[in-house]
Amino acid sequence: MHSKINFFIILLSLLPMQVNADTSTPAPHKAELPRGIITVDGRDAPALLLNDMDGNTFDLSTMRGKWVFAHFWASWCGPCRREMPTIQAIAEEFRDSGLSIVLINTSEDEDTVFDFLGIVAPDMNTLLDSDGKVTEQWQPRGLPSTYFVDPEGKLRYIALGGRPWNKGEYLGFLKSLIE
Amino acid sequence: MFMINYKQKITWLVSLMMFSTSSISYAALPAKQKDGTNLFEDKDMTVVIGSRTPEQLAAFYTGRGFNQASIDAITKKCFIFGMVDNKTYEVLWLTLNDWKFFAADGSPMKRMKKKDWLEIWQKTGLSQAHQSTFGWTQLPESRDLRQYEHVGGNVAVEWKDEPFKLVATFKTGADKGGESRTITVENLTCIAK
Repeated sequence: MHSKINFFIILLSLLPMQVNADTSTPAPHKAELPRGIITVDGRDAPALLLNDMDGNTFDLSTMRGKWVFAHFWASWCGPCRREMPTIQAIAEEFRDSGLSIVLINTSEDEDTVFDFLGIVAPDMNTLLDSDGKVTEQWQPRGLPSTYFVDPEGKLRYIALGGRPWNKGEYLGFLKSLIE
Repeated sequence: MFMINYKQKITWLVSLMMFSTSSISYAALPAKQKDGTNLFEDKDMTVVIGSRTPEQLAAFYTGRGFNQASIDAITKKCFIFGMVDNKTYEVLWLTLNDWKFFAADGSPMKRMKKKDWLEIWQKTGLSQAHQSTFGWTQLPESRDLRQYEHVGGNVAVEWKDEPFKLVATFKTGADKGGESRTITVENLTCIAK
């Protein structure tokens, strides 16, 4: 009887340690991701059908077979201003690759967008979500937000806030998607 | 007698374990900075709280093309800004329902929510695009801040001439079952024109 009770006590004592150990151990895939990039559950990406600054229509559903870097931004957002040149820096590198870089401006008029990009990232074009409704369907966690849509059209990763995309681990992460 | 002792020990041990795994709360007072903002910082999180001036608000939203009626409506409210950085927690919750504002007499203050602003925008005729922009400048109602995630934005409350208090609680853990942190910010003020 005593041995059963002792066993029960030992078992009970171990339980919380097991729970703590499980919650504090990062999954292997997390350790491989750069800081500020998190995995998403792989749900279908929302629709993205908008015109860019030249009036050309972009439809995300036509991008199957490629990764898509979908970046939501606005000119008034400080981190967007700092991040945009780093996106321009990688745009040339990934042109005609398996990674398509798509910018989506949220709720601003064309003049504001032209003025901003003309100064901060003159080589970049952007989709114009003039009333902000498409952005709200995507429910970004704030601005800027970058989603990674896989070649099957599923959401796989989100970058939290602005990231230096042309630097070390972030550039390596982008390359790893298409290797 | 021996069995009773063992039962007591087990009961005591189970109680201790239940207590040890329940939420632990920390309370803290932020430090007042030279610029008037309130800073709380430790190894786990950083929180900055302060007041917006009507001039700041008017300049920002006028610059974004908001109509005058909407600017007037905005500057009649009391805007507090908050910035939160999750430095270590797996998940740190920003939940505005856990942010309680209290007037000088201890009465709770009304916080403006999305539906309150929608009612105002219907009267002022603010465009959908500008409503969207306004929304992005506010703190989210709820956000599960991941490790190293930052969030910043405004939260508006009813105007008060006297200083008021914010008691902001942050839960942790994906299921909100971890320790909670409470920050009390005294002497917040609505800044008049």
